[in-house]
Amino acid sequence: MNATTETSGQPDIATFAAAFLKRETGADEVEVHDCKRLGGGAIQENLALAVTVRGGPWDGRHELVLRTDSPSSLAVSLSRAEEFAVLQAAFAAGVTVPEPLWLHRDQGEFGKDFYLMRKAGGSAAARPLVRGDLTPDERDALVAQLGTELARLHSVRPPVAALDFLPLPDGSPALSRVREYRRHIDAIGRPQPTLEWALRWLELNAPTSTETTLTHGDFRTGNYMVEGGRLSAVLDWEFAGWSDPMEDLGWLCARCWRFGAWDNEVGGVGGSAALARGYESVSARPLDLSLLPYWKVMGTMRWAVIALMQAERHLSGEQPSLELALTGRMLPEIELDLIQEIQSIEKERARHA
Amino acid sequence: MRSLPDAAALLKIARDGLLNELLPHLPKEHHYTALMAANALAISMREISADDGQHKAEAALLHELYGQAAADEGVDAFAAHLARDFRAGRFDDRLNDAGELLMAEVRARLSISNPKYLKQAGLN
Repeated sequence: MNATTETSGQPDIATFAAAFLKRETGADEVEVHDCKRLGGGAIQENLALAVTVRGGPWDGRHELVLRTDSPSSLAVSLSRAEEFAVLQAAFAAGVTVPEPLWLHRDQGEFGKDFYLMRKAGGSAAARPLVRGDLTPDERDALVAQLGTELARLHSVRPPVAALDFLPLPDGSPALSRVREYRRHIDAIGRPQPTLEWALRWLELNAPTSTETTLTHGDFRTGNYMVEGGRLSAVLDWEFAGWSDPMEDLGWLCARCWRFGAWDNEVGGVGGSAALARGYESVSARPLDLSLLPYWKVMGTMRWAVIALMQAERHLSGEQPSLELALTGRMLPEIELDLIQEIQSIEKERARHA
Repeated sequence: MRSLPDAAALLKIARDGLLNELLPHLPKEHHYTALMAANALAISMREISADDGQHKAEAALLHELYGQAAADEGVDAFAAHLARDFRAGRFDDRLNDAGELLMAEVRARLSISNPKYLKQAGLN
């Protein structure tokens, strides 16, 4: 196969990657058989490479993924080099990630950084997973595995020299988020009474006890791969950072990431008891599920802010798009989620008062 | 004098044409865009046919929190004020009540944007 015809818009990436791999692996020769763009990010570009390495310790055939910035890259998330460092830290902590292999730091030879990782099997598609035919036991096992993965990730605590580019939260991670989301809303400049109401609630009810660990930042159904009912890789690490570990759990369990399967609290797949069981099977500390409702509200708030920012790209005329326009019309759904989540916490509290 | 069919009827027939006549002939990779366009038409259709539920909910919210003068002024003028006051903690002692009032306003908007969602949330 002629690899250069498969890369749509980047005719020399396969050739460049072959030369790069030859140097990195100390091979006599590297042949790229196949180079295909994988679906997914508007921010990142993922290319599947099938390569044969001849000579050296990597001799043999390998299925790899090359991850680099897409032309429309945004500066809000981690750079590829930073993401590579996070992936290495997660891999070292035992999280099931595609093994990070080599990083290219560009000095002008190619035009941008990229890294190569092992290709993981399975599918990240959310809807087939939540609607799929996994048995209740299989769902429990998968959800427990999600808990295990998170607990392993959350065992990484600051300081970590290789991750010194990640900023530490300024005081309480929850209050730090409240300030961040207010800044985003102010930058857009359209008043949001319901979101301000919920942000005030998040401010007044911020947990007093908190810890700071490495967090994924976008750990949800759709961002992990599943093969034969088992998790095969946690993907999309560009929002990783130091935060309260419960933030990852709240995001995973927020209603907006259940893909319609609302009865299955954990990402539309299963229940939080299995999640806690998996988490506690590796974590030194028990998982305090009483904090989960607060962090689900925080996750829902995050989605509201992201949706506002996406809609604004259309509203401002920067990127006219039907999809972004309709995202603006999703705001009432997210506002409803926020109000219902907060009301159910308040009702529960009143019952125990 | 009103031209017929009216805007709601035009949007409805345009949406029917899109879904029933065009969509079956579109290649699969364009279905998503067509379905989004149909959704945009449906939202527009509901919006121009909407009753005054949203207006009433907004007026109730403003009346309760600020009194009748604010309710007469309308929510567009008062959204920034309301947002600022929530942030500043002015309604901290009745956040739950404010939540109820906001809920009515959000429900009214949701009945236009996505009434199925209201149903799924057990509210319709």
